[in-house]
Amino acid sequence: MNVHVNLLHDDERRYQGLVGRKFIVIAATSAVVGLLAIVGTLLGYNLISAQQELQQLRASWKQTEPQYKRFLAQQKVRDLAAGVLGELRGATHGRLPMHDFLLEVQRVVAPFPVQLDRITITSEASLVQPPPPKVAVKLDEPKPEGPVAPPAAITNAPPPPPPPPAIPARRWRVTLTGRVFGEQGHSAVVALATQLQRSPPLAEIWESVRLQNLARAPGEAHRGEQLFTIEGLTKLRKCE
Amino acid sequence: MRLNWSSLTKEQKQYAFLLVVGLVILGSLLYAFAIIPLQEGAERRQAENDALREKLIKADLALKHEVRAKMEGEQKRAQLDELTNSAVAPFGNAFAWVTEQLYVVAKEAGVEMEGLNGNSQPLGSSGPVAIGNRSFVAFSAQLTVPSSYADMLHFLRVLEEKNPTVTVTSLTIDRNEATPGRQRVSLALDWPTWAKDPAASPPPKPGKP
Repeated sequence: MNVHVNLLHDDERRYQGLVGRKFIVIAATSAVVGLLAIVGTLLGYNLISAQQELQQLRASWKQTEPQYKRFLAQQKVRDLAAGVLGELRGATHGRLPMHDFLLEVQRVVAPFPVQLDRITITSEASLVQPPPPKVAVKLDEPKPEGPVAPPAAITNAPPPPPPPPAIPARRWRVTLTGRVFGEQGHSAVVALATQLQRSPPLAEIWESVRLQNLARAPGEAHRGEQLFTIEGLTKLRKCE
Repeated sequence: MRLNWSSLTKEQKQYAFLLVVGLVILGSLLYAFAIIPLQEGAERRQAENDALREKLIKADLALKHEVRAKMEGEQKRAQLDELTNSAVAPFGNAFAWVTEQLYVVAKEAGVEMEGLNGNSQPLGSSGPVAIGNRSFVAFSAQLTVPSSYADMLHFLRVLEEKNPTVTVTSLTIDRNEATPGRQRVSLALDWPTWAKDPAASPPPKPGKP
């Protein structure tokens, strides 16, 4: 019978591996510290490079900034001047060129057997709200299916831009009052109204031209005369 | 190399556990107080660099056109000065200026003005306050010009040519039985005038730089 006697106490047992346990502890600690040191060094290098670059860029900006600010100030003055000029040109664009208009009216009326007693031109001012700027929509964006998307207030969508300022505008009401002579007077007045509406330079100005009134002139002295009123309304002319 | 966990004594196992805990704590501390601040600092500076670089590129691009922009600005200011001096009624003295303009026009057109009234009410009660959008209001003038149709046309031509911003807001031509060939013409005109004193505020009307 074989008897195995272990005379070694547990504390006296020695580890028999290739490397000692102390080495394992030192190696593990060193590996962790070393790895962190490498990462730290790289990051430190990045930080120093970024800092140096930042200093260079700040120096460049310090040189450029005054010139750029001067440029921006010039640009602001230029834009303001352009805006004010635009307003004044808008006023020119929005008016009815009265000389040209009356000259044309005279040219159109002249061949007809009529006599104008009164020409009245009045303007009506208004404000025109231009359409809001279009928001770009991505065409390739898939449309949401199912329930309707919640309104912008609930989602984080940016608020719509403020509406552009209203544009002052005017239209002119032109009333021609006069008399026509002869039995075929009514035909002449109708032809005059038609001619006023269709004559090329005036045709672009009008929104409408109507014969408002045609009646026999009262009294024996005006026998054979007919009184008429033609009213025209120009298109709205915007000051823009 | 084989490390048999079961062969370790209780004390050795405790040491091993303490070692692992110590390494984790050391690693965490280094990560929290060294690595993260370094990384954040680098990222922050990088972002600052990017923003500054972008500003510099933008400024350089803009400054390449500085000469042209300066010329355009001066041109616009000259145009504005010319137009405002010739076609905008001065602030606070509009009626005198309009009167002078109308008498010059009437003289050139060879017509006589009978009556002239002016008011600084901006376009009256029927219309908007501003001509354009911001800088101007209308100064209204009413006048009567007894003249022939041809003279009246001449008057209007001179008026509109000399004053590109004036608007004839109303016009009435009445045939006068007593004086054939000479009508009674009533006109209402709107001139732009500054909404605010241009001297008291920065542009619209730019002064000297």
